[in-house]
Amino acid sequence: MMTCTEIQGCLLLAETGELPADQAETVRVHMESCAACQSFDAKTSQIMNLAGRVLPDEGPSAAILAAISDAASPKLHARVVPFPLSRMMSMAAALVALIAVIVLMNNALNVPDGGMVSVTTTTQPRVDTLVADDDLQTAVALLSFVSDESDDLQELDLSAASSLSALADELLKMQGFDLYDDSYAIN
Amino acid sequence: MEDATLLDKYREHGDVQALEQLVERYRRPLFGYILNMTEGKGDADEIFQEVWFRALKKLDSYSHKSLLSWLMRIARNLIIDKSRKRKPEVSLDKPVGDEGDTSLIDLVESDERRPDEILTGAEIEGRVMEAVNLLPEEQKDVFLMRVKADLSFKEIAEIQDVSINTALARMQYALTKLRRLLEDDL
Repeated sequence: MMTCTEIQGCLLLAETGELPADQAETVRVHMESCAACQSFDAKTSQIMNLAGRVLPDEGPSAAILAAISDAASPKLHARVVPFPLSRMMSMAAALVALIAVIVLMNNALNVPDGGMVSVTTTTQPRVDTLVADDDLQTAVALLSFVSDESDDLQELDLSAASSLSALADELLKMQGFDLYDDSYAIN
Repeated sequence: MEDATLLDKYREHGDVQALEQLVERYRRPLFGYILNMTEGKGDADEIFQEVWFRALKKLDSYSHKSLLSWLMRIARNLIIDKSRKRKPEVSLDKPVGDEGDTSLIDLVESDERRPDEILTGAEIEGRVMEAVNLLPEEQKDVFLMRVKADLSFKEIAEIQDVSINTALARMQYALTKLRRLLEDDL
């Protein structure tokens, strides 16, 4: 048996349909015969209805609604969104790191001035100079290097050779070179 | 057309009219809540706009059951941020006066009015607005979400990040105070 205070505490949840079915039924039965709870409920409803009616909600200005519509337009939205600063910073950091790696590799290989390295082999011919603009061109140049018949000194652009050292190894192996043989060396 | 359908039309096909329907659908409850929780229409306009701007940015990751609840949560956070930048809030329950034993709500209740005075409809409306504005922020928050936006207590509890019992208790405290404030007027 619920008291009037308990019933009144349940009225708000009963109104929103959030009261469990058994309690909702208890409240309904109690409300049919309790004048005090009926009066309490009527007063609550009066306050809520009055407040709902008199508290302002006329809506935002037309300019605000227009601004929202503009922002919702995919084309405009794409135009006004700036390139994120964080992404720019990340790209700058990656660029600095890449430069640092290249410098370190240069130092580690003890490259002569001018960034060129002399490569000698006892069995392979050379082309005079290889200048690679991209990976494909470098690969072709390396391939022609190892397949040439001449055995003169040849200079290889370090920036291409160092970044493609693994590819060069593969190409040398394809041509039958033993990578651990002293028949060629980097000076 | 349901919210989810309109959202899909906007997200997948860039149908701005579908989004405008949603803005219009929730214009009154959302703006009503914001307007009554802020100081003036200028603030309310600004927050209403910002709510939708933020919603648009996060729409791709939106997965809530109720769009209105989600918008109300964004609005509530913006209102809190704005109020923190302003003066400290005044609570009705905070003691005032030289003795520190009187609350604002007592002062409101002692508002001088002759017994034979009869309030007009407009005056009653003014008293209701005044009384609601005197509620502590959290109680007013729940009251407005319930009255203006018709949210359930479960939704209100989720927005306020409290239990349903807490949201319900805040509503009951709000109604108790409003009954006391308005008992001579209704």
